[in-house]
Amino acid sequence: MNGRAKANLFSGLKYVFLALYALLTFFPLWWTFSNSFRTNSQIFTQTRLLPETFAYLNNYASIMRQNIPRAMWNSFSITALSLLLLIACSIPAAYFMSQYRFKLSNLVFGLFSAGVIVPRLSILIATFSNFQKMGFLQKQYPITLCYAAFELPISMFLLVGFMQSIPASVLESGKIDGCNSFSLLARIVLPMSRNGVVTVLILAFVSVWNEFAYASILIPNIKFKTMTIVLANAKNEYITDYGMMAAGVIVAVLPMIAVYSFLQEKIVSGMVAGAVKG
Amino acid sequence: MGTFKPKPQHALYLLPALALYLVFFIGPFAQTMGFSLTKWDGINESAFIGFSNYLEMFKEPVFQQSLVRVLKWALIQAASQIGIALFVANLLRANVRGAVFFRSVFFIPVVISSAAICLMFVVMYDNDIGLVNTALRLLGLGRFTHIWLGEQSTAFYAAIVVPIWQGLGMYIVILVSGLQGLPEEVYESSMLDGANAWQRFWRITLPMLWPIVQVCIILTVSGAFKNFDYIYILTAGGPGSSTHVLATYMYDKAFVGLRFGYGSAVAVVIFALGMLFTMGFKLLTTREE
Repeated sequence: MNGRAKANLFSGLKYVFLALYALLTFFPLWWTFSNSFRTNSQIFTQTRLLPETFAYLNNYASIMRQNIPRAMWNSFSITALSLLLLIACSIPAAYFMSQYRFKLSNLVFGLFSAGVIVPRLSILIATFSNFQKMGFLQKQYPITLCYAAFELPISMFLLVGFMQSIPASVLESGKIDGCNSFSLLARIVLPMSRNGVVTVLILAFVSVWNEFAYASILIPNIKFKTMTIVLANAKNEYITDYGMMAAGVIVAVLPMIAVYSFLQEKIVSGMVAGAVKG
Repeated sequence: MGTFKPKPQHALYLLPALALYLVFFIGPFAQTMGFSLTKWDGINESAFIGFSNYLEMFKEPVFQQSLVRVLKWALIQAASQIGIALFVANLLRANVRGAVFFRSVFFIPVVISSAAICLMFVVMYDNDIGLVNTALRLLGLGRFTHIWLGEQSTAFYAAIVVPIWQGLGMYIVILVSGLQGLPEEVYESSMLDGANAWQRFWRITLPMLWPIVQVCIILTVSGAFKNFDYIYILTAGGPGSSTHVLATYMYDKAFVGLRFGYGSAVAVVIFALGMLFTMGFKLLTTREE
């Protein structure tokens, strides 16, 4: 075999591997998608990667009659509120840490950084007992306080980094133009750290929307259950109704896939930054 | 950190975040440490019992097995995720047509919730209709079919395939960007020296990529230590206690057995394990350089 043929073979093999791996990644999702348009007896009699017809929507209709729409709303409102809280707390705090120095600066920053190494799961029991004492367990939104607090360490780390990289000369000229500390934040620092804020929002969105352990413990009220909990329970509830299970999965992942297809670049780079720096 | 001296009113910038963080993160962490020294059912008065929970725990077979299992998981997860991701990242590195497409497909599972992924795999592993058994039967390997999540011998491995499969995209992307940062000239000169692809990988790529691989090792291992969702949703620790890991064991003891003190001691072990590994690993690997 000459060099050219060898190179061709090699690059051919490369595509075969890549395509195979892509298939391996996409297959389970596609199969689930296909099953969501099939009746249970169809699923039982034959394995197919394309449904007999896409017009069979009974699975979707029946999960929509169940608790899915409410769970969707719960997930949505809890996520939105958590992000709002996180942003409202972390932006001013990061601004403060990046601009000012005081006696306990290092201690406070160290405290925030330390949060990165504490697994959230390890404080689940204590959090539950606090929620019990505070009477939070029957309410829907106290969990957002936890979610915001959990995202604070990585958010502070990223935002402080972003804000520190703003050249001092820019801030100086802002001050000469008569900006006080707050308008400096609103007019100069915030617009210039927009990318950092977007990264923080993306990281928090993915993590809060997908969160399972805390949602399963801190929200016992069936009315307030989020999508991830309803899905996990579906495993036992729809035990043999595979079409409905598939439809549930598809409805649950659709919002995330939609967001991902629009913001792909930002999500990938944001999550990688979050993982590596955390 | 900044340079300006704050005025008292500027503390308002910091206070909401700090309060939230102290009440809902640092506080519960300190409480967990405290609870772990008590006997407490979560309702009645707690009693201080020193290190009894820890002593009991380390003698408890299910705990020992969970600890060993989580170490096994970490090892398998790190080796397979980093191994496969390195392989795929190497394929994606040199101007492959469609690299962007492949990358975005590979990353999809990373953004999906563990609950949705688990439900998908419950069906994949199903005895009658699951793709895994169907594929085996099609290939004439019918005698290798299992009730994957229901048999003691297979349940744990079947369960940890799921997070390994799901997380791969993240490591592929991390490693691709690492590979793209390596200087091209080194490769060119090594090709002139007649090094083959295998030698290039071991002698050049891996040593230069090592700092990033290190990060991946820490992420995969500590990820496995604290992981709760997959085992809990897929097997809930069963059949028997054959798939319990520290996280599900903790949950079980605290919220099913109502032993909050003992559960907190397990929580402390989960925290300590991750911290010891990260610190130990960093210490060992930086000394070599």
